Amino acid sequence: MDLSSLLEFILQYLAVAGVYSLLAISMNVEYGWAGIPNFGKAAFMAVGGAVAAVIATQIGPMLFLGIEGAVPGTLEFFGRYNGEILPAYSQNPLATWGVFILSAIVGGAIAALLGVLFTYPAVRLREDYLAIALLMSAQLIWIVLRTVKPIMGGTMSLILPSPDFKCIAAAIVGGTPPKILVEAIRTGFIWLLVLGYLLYVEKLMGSPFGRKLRIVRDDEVAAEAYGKNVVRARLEAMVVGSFLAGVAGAVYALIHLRSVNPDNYLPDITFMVLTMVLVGGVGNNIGSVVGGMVIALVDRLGYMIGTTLAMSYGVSWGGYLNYLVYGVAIILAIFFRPQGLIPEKPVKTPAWKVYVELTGRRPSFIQPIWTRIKRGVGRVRSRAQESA
Amino acid sequence: MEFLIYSLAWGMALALMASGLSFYYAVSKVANFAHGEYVSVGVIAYLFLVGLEYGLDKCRGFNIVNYAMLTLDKLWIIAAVFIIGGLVAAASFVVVFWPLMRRGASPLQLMVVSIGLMFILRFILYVVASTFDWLTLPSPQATTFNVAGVRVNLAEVLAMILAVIATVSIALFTTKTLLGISMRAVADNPDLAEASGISSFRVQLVAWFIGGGLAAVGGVLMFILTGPPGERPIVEIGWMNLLSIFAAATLGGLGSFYGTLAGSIILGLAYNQVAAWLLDIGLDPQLALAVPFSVTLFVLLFMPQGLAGVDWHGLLARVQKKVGLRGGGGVGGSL
Repeated sequence: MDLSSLLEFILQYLAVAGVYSLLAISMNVEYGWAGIPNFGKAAFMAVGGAVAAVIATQIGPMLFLGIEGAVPGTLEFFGRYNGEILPAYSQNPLATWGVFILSAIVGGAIAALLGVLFTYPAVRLREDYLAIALLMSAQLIWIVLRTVKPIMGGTMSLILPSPDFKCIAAAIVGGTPPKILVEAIRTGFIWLLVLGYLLYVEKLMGSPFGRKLRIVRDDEVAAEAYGKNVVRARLEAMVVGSFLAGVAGAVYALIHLRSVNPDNYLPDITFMVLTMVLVGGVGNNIGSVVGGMVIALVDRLGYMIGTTLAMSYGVSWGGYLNYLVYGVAIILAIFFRPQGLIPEKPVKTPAWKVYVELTGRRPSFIQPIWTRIKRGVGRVRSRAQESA
Repeated sequence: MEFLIYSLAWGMALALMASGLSFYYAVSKVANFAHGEYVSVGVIAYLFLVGLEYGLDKCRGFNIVNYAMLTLDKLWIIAAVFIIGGLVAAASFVVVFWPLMRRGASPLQLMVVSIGLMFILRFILYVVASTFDWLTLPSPQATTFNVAGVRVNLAEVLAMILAVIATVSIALFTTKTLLGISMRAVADNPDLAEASGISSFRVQLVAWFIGGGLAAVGGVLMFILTGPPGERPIVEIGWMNLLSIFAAATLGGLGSFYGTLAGSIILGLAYNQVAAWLLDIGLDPQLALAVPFSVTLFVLLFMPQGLAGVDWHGLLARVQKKVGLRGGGGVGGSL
């Protein structure tokens, strides 16, 4: 393997890891911070993908290209879409970016709306019911996408116009850019989004809103006693998580896969994202990114091992190895490390800053360990002197 | 009429699987997403046992369908499937759930761990099914009878008989036998039950065994009735039915057996009617799955206790008052 193909492999891996990290962060808001078992994550991603498909085929051409759109599932669709619309997109890089930005915003908004709608029936009940309701909603969305042809065109993969990174690369080096640079810019863009997600969620979780989510997760009764509206807090967490998932769904469809197919949104992907959060760290956003990177690697390795098994030993079940890996990872994580690789950290709230300003010293729980030991030793010594 | 019987049998097969779930849910309070895999275990075990009987070499791939026809002399296989499903469920309880429960895991953690278990079981099933090339099969035939001019097949008969027997015997078991009564004690208050000398482990083990066995038998009957799940591999039959199972159990009020039976029958009739109607107007009958899902959301929103939580005596009395009858006490069925 020469250097450039190795570099390309690493870049592709990083791109997948970045997309998975986006999903894991959005899951972490719900599962890690608010304690909501969102088993319907696939549905909110699917919303992003469906909006991307509708915008790329029907609204985008009218809005950005000035030609009439084509409705998937109709007879003349493929002729018009492949012959007229996709070439027009490739001539017009700005239009592809328009499609991406519009579908990210609209997809996120619709996903947030659906997040409230699906959670509302079971939000007052035990977590089991909530999980079941969300899972059912996801399955319903999947069936609707499969059967309603004008959204994604049924079960055949629909190629989408991916945002054009080639023109950015061309603007940097001029002429026809090397393929590796285009890949690098694409990967860089995904990780820029990851950074944006991280900053946003970290900021949000350090705010009173994040503290409210944590008290609701840890002790519902205490939260109510403090005057927090438990139902409202959960719904708000779902809005944030689903919005992030909807945007990530648009990224997944337009930048990662560059196509949509209802069967990309099976519950398997929900549980894959859940595994990332469990492995990386429940309630820790950096942990979610680490989980995303680990699972992307496992995914890649599992695929390679599976194909090798099939090629050289004629074993037909190699493709299902991922199930075994996810299952074992989930069970081991819950048994031996329920907090994940990187555990949750105490929130750095402004409250202790005020404390420091007023008293001039740090509160005991974030004082360095040696001061606490020194104080303890001193206390023991003085007590010994008293008794002597 | 035949369609009505088919829908009824569909509902009864669902009832078998759902009452398995609500049986151990009542005792252990675990929302077990691996329940669907017990169903698939039943199907694969049935095919495997049929293969053992006729020689595994002859039963590779599509050939198994001819041998797997459900006849009266295959009843022992159904019984064996019950035991295999029960053993798998009991093993998963002993290895995974019981250690976690003893450590005081939250319901959320138990639910998540059941997903891990589901993946592992599914992997094993995929290995078995793809070794014998059984991933996509049409549904096998079943012996048909002619009862008063109506054609009924054995799977339908078995589903109805077994569902009724299971429900009644579970109800008798939990009210009349010592083990059943201690089961209810554990369900109500595990600590108090332990304090009065009931081994909560043993009681839960029995509940999981019976629950898994019912799921496996229900799975075999469902497979013969409906065939493979959509366009998915046969191994996912449990997963595709899992949400209907949860819907039936929730509609019945998780943990109530008559409620589960009633809920399953209602869902079976509604689902199949809607599916037929959708086919008539030229839509994909898969959309009928919206029925169980929306019923569940409705139930969760308005009556989270399910059918078991409805005050049937009060309702009956009110209806009788409206109609003008003097209602006698104890007329209403206690669900």
